[in-house]
Amino acid sequence: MDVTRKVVSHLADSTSRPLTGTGPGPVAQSPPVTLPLRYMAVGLVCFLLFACDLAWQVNRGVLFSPGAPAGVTLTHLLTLGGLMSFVMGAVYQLSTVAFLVPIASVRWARVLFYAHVVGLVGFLASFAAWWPAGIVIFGAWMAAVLYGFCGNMMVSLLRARDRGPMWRFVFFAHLHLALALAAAVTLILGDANLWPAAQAEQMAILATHILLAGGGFFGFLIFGFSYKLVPMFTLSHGYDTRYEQWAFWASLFALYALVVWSWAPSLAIGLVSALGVVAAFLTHALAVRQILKRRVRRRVEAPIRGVLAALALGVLWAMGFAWHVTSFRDAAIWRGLVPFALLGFVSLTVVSLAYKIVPFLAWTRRFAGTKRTGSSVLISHLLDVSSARFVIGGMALGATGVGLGAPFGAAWLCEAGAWMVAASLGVFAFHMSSVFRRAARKEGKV
Amino acid sequence: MIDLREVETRLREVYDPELGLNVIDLGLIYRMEEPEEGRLVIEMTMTTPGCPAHETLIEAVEWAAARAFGVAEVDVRVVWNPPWTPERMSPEARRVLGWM
Repeated sequence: MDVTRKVVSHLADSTSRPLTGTGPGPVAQSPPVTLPLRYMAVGLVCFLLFACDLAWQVNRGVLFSPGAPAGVTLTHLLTLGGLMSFVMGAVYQLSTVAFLVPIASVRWARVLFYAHVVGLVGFLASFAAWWPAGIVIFGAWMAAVLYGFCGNMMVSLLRARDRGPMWRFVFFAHLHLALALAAAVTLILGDANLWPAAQAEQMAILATHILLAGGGFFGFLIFGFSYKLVPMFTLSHGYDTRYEQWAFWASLFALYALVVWSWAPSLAIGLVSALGVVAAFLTHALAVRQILKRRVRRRVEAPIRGVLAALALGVLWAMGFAWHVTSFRDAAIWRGLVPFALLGFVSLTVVSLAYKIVPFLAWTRRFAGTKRTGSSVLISHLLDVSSARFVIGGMALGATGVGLGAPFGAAWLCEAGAWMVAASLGVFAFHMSSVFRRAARKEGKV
Repeated sequence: MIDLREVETRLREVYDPELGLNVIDLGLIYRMEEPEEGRLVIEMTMTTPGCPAHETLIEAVEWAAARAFGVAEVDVRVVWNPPWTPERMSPEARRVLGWM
């Protein structure tokens, strides 16, 4: 009997076409899931510690004196501990998925993880105790670790064939992180009196560090990976990508204009940079809108709504920044802008996406191989993503409260907002830990 | 001789872990052939290039197909052309995703 032409015709639209598959391919390069999960676990612990510290400090005026040791510790607990650790893990996983390239050295990434944890504990403890020698030692340690991370990722990214706007955003994010680290090292050397010239320009260097790390690294990563994650989670196909290109150039222009403005604070440069920031957020919002218009999953899940809420807070930040420029750098407005950017745009995006990424990684770690034993555990069995709406709502409202309370001098609003953020992050940590508890409990069966 | 209807039934047990829909209803299986006795070749795609569940789905399809009577060897090939489109989904899958 001739069996060579037997085809299940209703599965295909062109039955005469010969089989042309190339075998299992594109994402065989993903690193073992334990690598991103470890980084993310450290990030989750730091988010929880940040929530506790924020709740502890909220009545002690920490929101109004961010330059005090308690404020600096709190800020780095969120940025370097929670956000950076989580994002490092996510980048190791997402880059392979988005650009179809392997990580240059998984072994190096594993070694850096332990160095990252040691450096993080030492650096945060040095800040908390305000131990200058410790800040220098562990600051240099953390800089070395993050340079190692940047190098590993940039070498990996350079192997990608498709270098569209998403790639440019992610590649430049790592470049900006390297520059932000250089600014941080300069600051530390200035503070330690090892480089007096740096001390004289402390405020400009600090602004450069914040802009490059916050906007140049976290902001660029969020913009770039949105063009992979939003379509993937909403099953969007065939959408218009022209705004992605515009968003990249507008973002690059805005960031560099802001850095110039921090060194040469004239109204003209400030207005140009404000225009760039507004253009960057609006073109990015248009790019995301194009994706959502062509989505197959009509019901937008809570985590994606969280990403959109974070983007809305980012747009508010951009408009507030324009206000800040035209009001001649009113310090009160600036204090309100930081929570919009850090707690609203960056943290809310990361927390929202964590509701999709962490359960997937936990599922892969626990159940990916158990299909062979007949397991039918789905990712939704590990976590109901709709539960994210309380955390997302709390964080969005909290960030707005802190952000609006500062410029209008409403301390009660700031404190209420901070409490909401702390409580939301506490619930977030509980949700994420429950993912691992459920994964461990299910033992491959529903 | 492999009963491809049985293979299809087996593949209905393979779920996309994120969407909770099986690979047949999602329209991910393009073709199935038995080019030689006992050897099954499956041509499938993913909803997006770089789908994180790529390897898992391939393994699951291999395992499920191998359980069908007469299958001695399974060769799963992933293709990107033609790309997956929502039109390939079954009415049931479209209804679940709210696409109808």
